[in-house]
Amino acid sequence: MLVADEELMAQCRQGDMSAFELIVRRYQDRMVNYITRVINDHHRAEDLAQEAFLRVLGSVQRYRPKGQFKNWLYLIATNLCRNELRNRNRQSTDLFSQLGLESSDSPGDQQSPVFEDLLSDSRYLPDQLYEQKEREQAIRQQVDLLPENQRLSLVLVTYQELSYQEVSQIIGCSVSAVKSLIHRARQKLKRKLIEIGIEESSNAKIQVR
Amino acid sequence: MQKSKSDRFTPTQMFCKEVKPQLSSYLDQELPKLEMGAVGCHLRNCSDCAFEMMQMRQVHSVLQRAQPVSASSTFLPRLMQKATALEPHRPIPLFQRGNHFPPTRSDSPTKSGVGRMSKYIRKNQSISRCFGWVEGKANRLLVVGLSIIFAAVLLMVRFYDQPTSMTPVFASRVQSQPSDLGLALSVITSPATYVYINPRQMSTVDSPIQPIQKQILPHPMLFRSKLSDQ
Repeated sequence: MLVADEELMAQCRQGDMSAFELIVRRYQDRMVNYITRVINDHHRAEDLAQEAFLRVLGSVQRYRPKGQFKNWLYLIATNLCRNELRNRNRQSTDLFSQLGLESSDSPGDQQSPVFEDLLSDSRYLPDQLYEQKEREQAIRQQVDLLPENQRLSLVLVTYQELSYQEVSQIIGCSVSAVKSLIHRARQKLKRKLIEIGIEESSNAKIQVR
Repeated sequence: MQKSKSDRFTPTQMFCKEVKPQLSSYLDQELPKLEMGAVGCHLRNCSDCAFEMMQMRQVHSVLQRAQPVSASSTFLPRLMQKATALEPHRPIPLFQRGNHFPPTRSDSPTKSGVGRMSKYIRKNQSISRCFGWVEGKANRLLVVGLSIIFAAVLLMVRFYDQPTSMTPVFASRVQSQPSDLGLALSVITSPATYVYINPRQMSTVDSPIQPIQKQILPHPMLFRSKLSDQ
C-alpha cells in the first residue's frame, strides 16, 4: 500500500529519516529530470535536486499540508532553477563583456547560424542514431532559448505531466496566464523547429473532411 | 435575445480566431468538456486550423521523444549523507530542555559560559541550532512574557528615580501624593498638566532675586537631560 507523501512528511517531522529516504526515492528521478530539462545540465541538476531535498528536510517543521506535497517540492525546485538561470545569465553577460562581444537581445540570433549549418550539412549526420542525438540536442537548445516562465511551464506540462492548475501554483500566476505561456512557447518552438528543418510527421495524422 | 454560454461554442459559431489560441489547451486536454467538443468539431471542418493543430502535435511529440533523465546511483547515498549531517531540529517541549541547551552534541566545546556558546556557534555555523528551543510554542510565550516583565520593571525603576530632581509647584498635589512612586504614577497618567521648577536655579548665588523660571514639560523623562544641563 502506498503511503501518502503528507504522512511520510509527518513521520519525517518526528525525526524518522527512513521516511525522508522514501520521499527521496519516490521523487529523485522526477526532480533530476525536471531540473535537467530546465537548466540543461545533468550534473548541476543533481546538485540542485539534492539542495531541494535538503531544503525540504530543513523546513520540515514549518511544513503544513495545505496543498499537495508534490507541488511544494516542485516549487522549491523551480525557485532553485530560477536562481541558477539568473546566475548563469549574469555570468555569461560578464563573459561577453570581457571578450568585448556585442550582446544581442535574443541569444538565438548568435547560436542559430552555427546550428543551421550543422543540421543542414549532411556530412555531420552520417546515420540515424547521430541524427536522433542531434535532434534532441537541437530541441534542448531551442527550449533553452525560451523565456524563463515559458520554459518552466512547458517543461512542467510536457515532461512532468502536471495540470495547468498545478503549474499555476508552482509558477505563481493564473491558469489563463499558464495557458498563454504554454501556447506562446509552443508557437516559438514550432517556428524554430521548422526553421532548422526538423520534421516529424509520424505521429501527426489528421483527418480533414 | 441573449445567447447562453453553450450557444457560443457550437461549430458554426466558432471562428478560427477563437480556436487558434485554444489549440495548445486542446492538445493538453485542459479545456472544459463543451469547448473540447466545439474545437474538435471546428478542426474537422477547417483545414487551416487542422494544419496548425498538426504542427502543434509535432512539436509536442518531438519534445516528448527526448530521453528521460534519471538520478545517478550515487544520488541517494550522497544525499542521505548530507541529510544525516543536517539532522532536522525539533522544538523541545517546555521544561524538558534538559541538556539540549546548552547543546550536548559530541562536537560541542567543553568550555563554559559565553565562550562555550560563541565557540559552538562559530563551529556549527548555525545560531538556530543553539536557540532552537525557542521555536517551541510554549517556550516562545515564556520568552515573550519574561521580556515584557523585564521591560516593565525597567520602566518602573526609571520613573521611581525621576521625581527626586524636580519639585512640584502645587503643594496640594505634593501633600496628597507624598511618595515618589505615587508621583511618578500620577505623572504617567497626566504628564502635560505638571509644572516643574529646576532646583538648581533656586540656589543660584549670582542673582538671588531672579524669579523662579517655570517650565511646562510634556513628560519628565524626555527633558531630564535638558534640565540637568541647565
